[in-house]
Amino acid sequence: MPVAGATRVAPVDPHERIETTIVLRRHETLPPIGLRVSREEFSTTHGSRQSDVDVVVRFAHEHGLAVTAIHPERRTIRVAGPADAMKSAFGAQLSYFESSQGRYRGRVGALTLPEPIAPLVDAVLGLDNRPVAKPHSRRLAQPAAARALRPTQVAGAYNFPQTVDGTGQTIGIIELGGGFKSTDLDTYFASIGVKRPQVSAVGVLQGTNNPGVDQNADGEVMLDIEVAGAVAPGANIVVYFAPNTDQGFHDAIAQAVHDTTNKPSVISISWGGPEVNWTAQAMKVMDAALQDAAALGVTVTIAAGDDGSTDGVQDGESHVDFPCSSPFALACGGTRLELTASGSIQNEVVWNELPRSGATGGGFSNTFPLPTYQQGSNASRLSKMRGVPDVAGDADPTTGYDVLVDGASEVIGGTSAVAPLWAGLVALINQQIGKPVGFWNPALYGQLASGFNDVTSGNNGTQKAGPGWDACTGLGTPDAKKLLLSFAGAAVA
Amino acid sequence: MPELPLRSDPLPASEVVDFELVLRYGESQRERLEEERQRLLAGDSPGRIAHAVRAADPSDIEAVSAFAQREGLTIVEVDPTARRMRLSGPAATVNRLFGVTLMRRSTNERVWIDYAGEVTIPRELEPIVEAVLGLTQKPAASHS
Repeated sequence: MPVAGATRVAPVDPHERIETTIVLRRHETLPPIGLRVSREEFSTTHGSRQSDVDVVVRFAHEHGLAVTAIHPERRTIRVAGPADAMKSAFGAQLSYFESSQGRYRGRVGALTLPEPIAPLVDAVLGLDNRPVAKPHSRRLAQPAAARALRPTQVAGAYNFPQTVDGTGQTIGIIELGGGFKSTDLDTYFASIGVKRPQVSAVGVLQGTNNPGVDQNADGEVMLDIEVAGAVAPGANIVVYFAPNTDQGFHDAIAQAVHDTTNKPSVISISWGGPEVNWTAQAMKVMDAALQDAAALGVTVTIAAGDDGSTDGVQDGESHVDFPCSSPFALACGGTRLELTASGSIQNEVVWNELPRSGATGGGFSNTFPLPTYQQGSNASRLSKMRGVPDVAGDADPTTGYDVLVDGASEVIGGTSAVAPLWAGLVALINQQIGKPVGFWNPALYGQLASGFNDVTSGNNGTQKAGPGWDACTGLGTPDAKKLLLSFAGAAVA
Repeated sequence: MPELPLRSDPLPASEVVDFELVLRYGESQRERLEEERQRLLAGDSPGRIAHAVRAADPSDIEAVSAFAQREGLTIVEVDPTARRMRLSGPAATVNRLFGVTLMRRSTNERVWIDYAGEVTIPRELEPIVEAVLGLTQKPAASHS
């Protein structure tokens, strides 16, 4: 039904891509796939029949719809396709409506299903996308801590463009614990004088937005959202909460990369572990999911770790962190950034406060060979393996970021802050150039290599900074103005 | 840092566990993947492709489903686009099929499922299945 007072404004474009959920009838008798065990949550009496699934899948294919997910235990099949295919399958006339709640897509008249299909289907959801209520904004402002930097100050020092705010872009953030409170976000963004971005949570497996239980994990979540949001407040921020397991981490990446509803153009990951702690299987499929991202034009920024060249492994050897060591990651290292009174860079060196306050991760993979894009860089002179990080940004906790976590102001650093900082920058650049940069590592090492502040001083243990690429700060920290000029130059050439 | 358990006991044979298989790419994509990988890493973008192109083959999903049915595993979720199938089954079956011993480990604060041994993929599922995930609830990552 249309919202009260809504007016129909225009028919839906026949090519508009729509995703709907078909809810199947309950299974009355036998389990769909032969089984003795029954677990409460997958109760066979609530699942769908395999034969029903088969019939509906065939029906969808006959009408030019793609099947994007089958969940027998939830009795749902998700299908996607253009509006005119939806019309042909479900007899639905779709139109845009304008109401006091905003513009939405709705249907006119009843849904119809052909005779053999109709009895199998309980509901078709998602043809409508009526707006849900927006959160109320709240007051106000806790004073910011004195020494720390605001994300906007860091963005200013790195010359992030001021004329764009990430509008039209979705930033996906992967979290393996913790949660955010909407009220904290209201307070935080009001306190730094930045428009509050739209932030939503997506659950992966049993993951949920669960603030107030694990304060460390909440700190990570809030740091990620507040840094990305302060840099690109016009972007839509979608946080994927997954359990902290190999399956949870893999599924979160896969779900975000293939999320055709929110369509993130950049994904930020501030979680990882030393390569030696991963199974070969898990690394292989997570790397494959990151290759999917690259092929789909999605940038993935990943923190390089906070334990220097050992990555926290106590065997006396050098280690790097995965998933940042995947060649499809934009691996993000850390610096210590000091600003002048006017907010420009006074001094920037490798972040190394070991043993007490961490150091940037960085070094060479034991798993992934040197990618083509690092050939010719210093990485190829130092190793035959993938070197990390690719890029860097302010991370030292002593020059860390002022954030609000569980109602309290905190200063947090770490390469965790750098992944969302770069994700925010990618959203700005995508908006500015009018298309996603996607997997841009080859360009960063090539035609965009002049778009960096080269960090040449410091070390993270065994790796030393120097001119050009190094295994502490990669190509350097962004000079976004130069990066954008290089884009313009590349477009002209 | 991974926690060291104070207690470790094999799971009871009939206890049902949930896990995930990650399938290979569909045939149309499989042969092109290595080539695509090299092109992407060299900065030669193949252009944006459709999500569906990355999906698993229906015949691979069927083969795994048939295997699951025969071995007494339940299919919990099938996600062709992300090439994932979630299954569940009794610990004894999972141990036998994947060459592990599922364990319940605990400290005073926490209880988690984990396994002893190394996961092997049943010959019949090779080369369809590329990874078996979720047999351990050990934290996979820490935040930086």
